[in-house]
Amino acid sequence: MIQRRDFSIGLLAAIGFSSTAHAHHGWRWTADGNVEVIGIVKSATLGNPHGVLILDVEGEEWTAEVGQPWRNARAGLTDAMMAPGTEVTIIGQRSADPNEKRVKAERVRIGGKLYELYPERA
Amino acid sequence: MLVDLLTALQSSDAATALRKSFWVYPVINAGHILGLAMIFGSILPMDLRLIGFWQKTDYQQLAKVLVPVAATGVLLALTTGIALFSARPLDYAFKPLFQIKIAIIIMVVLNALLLHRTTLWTTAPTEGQPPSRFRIAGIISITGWVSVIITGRFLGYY
Repeated sequence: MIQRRDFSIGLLAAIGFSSTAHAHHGWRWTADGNVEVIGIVKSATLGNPHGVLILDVEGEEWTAEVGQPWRNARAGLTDAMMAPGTEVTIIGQRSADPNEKRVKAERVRIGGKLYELYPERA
Repeated sequence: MLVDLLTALQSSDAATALRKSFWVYPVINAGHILGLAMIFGSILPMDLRLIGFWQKTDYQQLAKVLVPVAATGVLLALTTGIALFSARPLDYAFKPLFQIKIAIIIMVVLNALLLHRTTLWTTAPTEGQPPSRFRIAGIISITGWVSVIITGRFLGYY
């Protein structure tokens, strides 16, 4: 007969294990403070569940995470505006891992116009 | 071959609409969570009974209530899961984490089906100490479904 206590401990361990590590969702994986990354779009993978731009930043490859469809639309950004070949400025938080060239956009500047993906984070 | 098939799926009208949708994708996502909540919420008490908890409760009666709920949950999680997969099949199909998750799902579903096919399932005393065959199946099921939830959640981050 297994004791009730053993079951509770097992369940707690399972819950603890399932809440570690973050990479995409939220901002826990990013460093505080904004960075600006200016680059040319090499490829764009837009739409659910994540919008991702691969940028050529003076020869270095950066990955920029933009919004889901509703967030991009709210900001006034269309997929066509982020087509390969476009120069974009990504303003946002970069990965807390300094070796990872990945930035999550709070706002995007294209052709001198600013698009606010996270107006509440301004 | 597989890549061609997945590319065709990814560029299908339905998958494209899903990628571009504002609310359909998150609603399907919520349906997937609902499905696994139904599975785990029903399978956990069932498995614990098989392992040896609540021995005064008739496991056959328990199964009559919990197994249909779990099976419906599997159906819901499967259909919504296929929809979510179709949005980015090329991203998921070759991720080891995704392949591990699918392998575990096949294993736990087979585990349940095989248990139900044993003669022991219908002939074991409905109360008291469960046979070791039940205990093994219960342990496989709990650890399997917990692993499915963990690998599934981690797919969103890696």
